[in-house]
Amino acid sequence: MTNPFDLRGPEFLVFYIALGALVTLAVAIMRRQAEPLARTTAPLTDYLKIAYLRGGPSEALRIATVALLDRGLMEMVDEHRLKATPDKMPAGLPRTEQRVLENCKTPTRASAIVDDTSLRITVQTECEAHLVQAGLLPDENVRTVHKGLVIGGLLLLGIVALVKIMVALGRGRTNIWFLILAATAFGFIVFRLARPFRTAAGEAMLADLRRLFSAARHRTAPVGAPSGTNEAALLAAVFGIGAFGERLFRRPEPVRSSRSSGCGSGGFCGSGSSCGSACGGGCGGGCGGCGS
Amino acid sequence: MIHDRVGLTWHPQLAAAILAARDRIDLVEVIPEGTFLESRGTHRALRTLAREMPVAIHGVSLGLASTTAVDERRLEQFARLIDDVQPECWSEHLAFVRAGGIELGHLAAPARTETTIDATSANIERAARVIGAYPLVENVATIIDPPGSALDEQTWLARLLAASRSDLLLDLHNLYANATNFGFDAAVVLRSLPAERIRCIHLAGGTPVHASTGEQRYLDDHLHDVPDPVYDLLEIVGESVPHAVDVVLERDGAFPPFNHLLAQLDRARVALARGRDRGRVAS
Repeated sequence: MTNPFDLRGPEFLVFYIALGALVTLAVAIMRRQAEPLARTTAPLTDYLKIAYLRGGPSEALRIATVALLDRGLMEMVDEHRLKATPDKMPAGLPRTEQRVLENCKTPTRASAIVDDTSLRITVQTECEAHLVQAGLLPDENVRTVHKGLVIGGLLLLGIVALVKIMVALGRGRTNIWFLILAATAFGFIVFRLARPFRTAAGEAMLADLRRLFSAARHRTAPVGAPSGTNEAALLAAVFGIGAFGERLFRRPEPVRSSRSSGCGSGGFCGSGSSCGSACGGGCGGGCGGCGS
Repeated sequence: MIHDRVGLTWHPQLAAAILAARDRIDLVEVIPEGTFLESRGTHRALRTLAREMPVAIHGVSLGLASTTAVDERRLEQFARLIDDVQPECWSEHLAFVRAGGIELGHLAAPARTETTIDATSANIERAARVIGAYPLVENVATIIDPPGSALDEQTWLARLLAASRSDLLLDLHNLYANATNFGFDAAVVLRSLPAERIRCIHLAGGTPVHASTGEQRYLDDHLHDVPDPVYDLLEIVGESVPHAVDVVLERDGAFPPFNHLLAQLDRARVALARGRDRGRVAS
């Protein structure tokens, strides 16, 4: 049997790509096997946990602030700052919302909320344990397995590439750049694959939510505000504030947000939406118009 | 204490509003059409929804009240959906939707005869065998008296229930629409139905339309608010049905602000509770 390190450059590259694909596949399978199935009821009605699941503490704080603005518990002071609406601290608010309101008793820059370490800890405490228990975020055991997979995968790919590079250089060959490129690419893929923020169950949950809420993206009217519910916050938690643009939230400058997991560090989106759940007509039920 | 539940038809456009108002909505009813029937991804998403809140599946395309057998392929598709989503129950209309290979695109009321009672109960048996549970069967609205009928609606319905193991999903708006169109008293018919077989209630709205003959008819279109007389009928349900029922508001388009729909659910709760109180006093 041929020693693979004796293969010529292009042939070894094919061998290395096959090895990289195999390692990637093995890492993907072993990651799946290490993760538990979703264990408890999903947090379908909790916008904060959904936002956390999608984008971590920054995104959860961003959406929490949008929810508070949308429910009239906060208001924009100017284009940069917002503050809690006086005399409006209803009982029974989630801890994170309470803390955000407390932090904004005086006009506060939107970016300061996302960057506030104590708020990040509060939202993490409120969301992470539940999501871990639900099997949607990895627990310590799963994280250890993930770490092992990253180390194992990177070591295997790195050592094979390194040995071949040394062999090649020892034989006076310098055409090693494609191999370095392939090793870097597979290393990146393995790292991303084996160190996910969410578990596969968490990914599936987000996919389910996007599917359930998909038609909301076709709305032509803004949502939220008058009902005093978290409808707009739920939509923003699932898709990100940026996915709706001006249709969903009016955004005072310099408010910014990204489509998915996060705005830039200063990102916030204000809301002054003027209408509830109004949306266009049309029979979506297939009822045939009558008789049902 | 009887714990009736009140909910509404699930529409993806309303998804976030429904979940945001979860504390005021006890259940949702999902109509399985298009991707609902075909996509396993959608089935999985609905299963996730069914873990969060009670879900009922409401069929519109099986055509149980037909003298031809229900299509096996459709039944199998439906069975897969039920198996994947695991709803609390499923229901279907007492209508025919195709004939001679032609899709009507409409829930047509069958001729009310002994023949259609036999054929419908055979179709119900067949569906229950494939799907693994009996459907609730729903009375339909019609703007024409079904040609060839030998029985009135209440007799046909009562005999069908006697011949079948399915319970009744009573659409009060359909009953009201038919009463308006054909001049009978909906309350009298409601009181004549076997109350112990009524499991679920539908509420909806409609609008007057003019037939080509110039006659006015009342159309059940699911695009308008529930009319007052339907709440009166719901009170009678509360008074006469001895067990808990699920009440579902059907709104399929021209959606008003969501609070307006929630107000109709609240009004339904009040009507039902008033009927329950009256029933207690009477007994």
